[in-house]
Amino acid sequence: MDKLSNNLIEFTLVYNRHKSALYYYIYKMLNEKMVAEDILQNVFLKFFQNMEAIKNKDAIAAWIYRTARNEIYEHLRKKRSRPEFPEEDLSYIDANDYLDGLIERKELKALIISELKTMPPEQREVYLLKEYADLSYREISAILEIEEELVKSRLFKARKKLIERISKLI
Amino acid sequence: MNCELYNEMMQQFHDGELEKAKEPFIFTHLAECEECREFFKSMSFISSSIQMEVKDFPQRIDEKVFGKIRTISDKNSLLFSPRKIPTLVSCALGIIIIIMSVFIFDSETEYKQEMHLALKQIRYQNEKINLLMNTMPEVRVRSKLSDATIIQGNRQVTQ
Repeated sequence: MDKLSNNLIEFTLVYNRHKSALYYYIYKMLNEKMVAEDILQNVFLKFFQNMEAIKNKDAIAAWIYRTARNEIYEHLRKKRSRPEFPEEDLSYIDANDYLDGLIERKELKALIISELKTMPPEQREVYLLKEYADLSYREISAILEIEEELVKSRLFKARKKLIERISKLI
Repeated sequence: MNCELYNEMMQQFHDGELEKAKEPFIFTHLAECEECREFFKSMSFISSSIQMEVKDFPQRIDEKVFGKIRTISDKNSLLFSPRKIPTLVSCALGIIIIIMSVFIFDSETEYKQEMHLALKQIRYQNEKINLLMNTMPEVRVRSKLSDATIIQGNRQVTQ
């Protein structure tokens, strides 16, 4: 098998493993589906072009998320705005639904989005990397270039806040 | 230990980052504390909802990404693709440098041989001049015209 075929196989494996989580991380950070798709595409194209340069295969996830994060902040810098979260998803949630005590997963999703919106950006980012991307504390600390202890503390705070607000409604 | 610490341990357990040795402490606490049980339940429920959402991935992105990858692969497979230009230029420069080195080495050897021959000739000529000078009589030259002998060597020869 030639080098190009090997690269394509390796790329497909990495792509299938990370595509969904990465897409949601970007989407939740920007609240723009089309931009999220473009960024996802750019990240994977960059990955394909730099595959051979990434010697440490365990660092692929960190490389991909760091590149995505740079693209997200680059986009935000161009837009000169802070990340926003979808409003439209909340429109169909009625207060009575909460009182009924039975919240569908779709509605819970909207609730999570609205709660994420109130979180400080640094807590929100750690929460998204953990819950959506399912990365380890070490990987998150490498992506954000912060201590692992800080990752834990931000994540625990974000999760606690979210659970406190949502648990009353579940 | 208070619930706050157990909450943190529960989160680490949920994330698969808690030491095995600490796991029994959580289970014991969960059996005793209803509030923490609720916390754990909510955390798991939220995570599973998120994981279900993550499974829903737009297929059109796959087509877009692999379409681009195919284009890049095709470009890369061409010999004179823009990506290969720096490599080709480097190879060409390398070959030129090797040819120039061989040429310079060859010229240097030639010059060395010529120089050696020239030195040999000079040395031979020098020896010849020395030999010629030694066969001639001694000549003395005085500074003033009034002096009796200007060229002593000639007189000696005539005498």
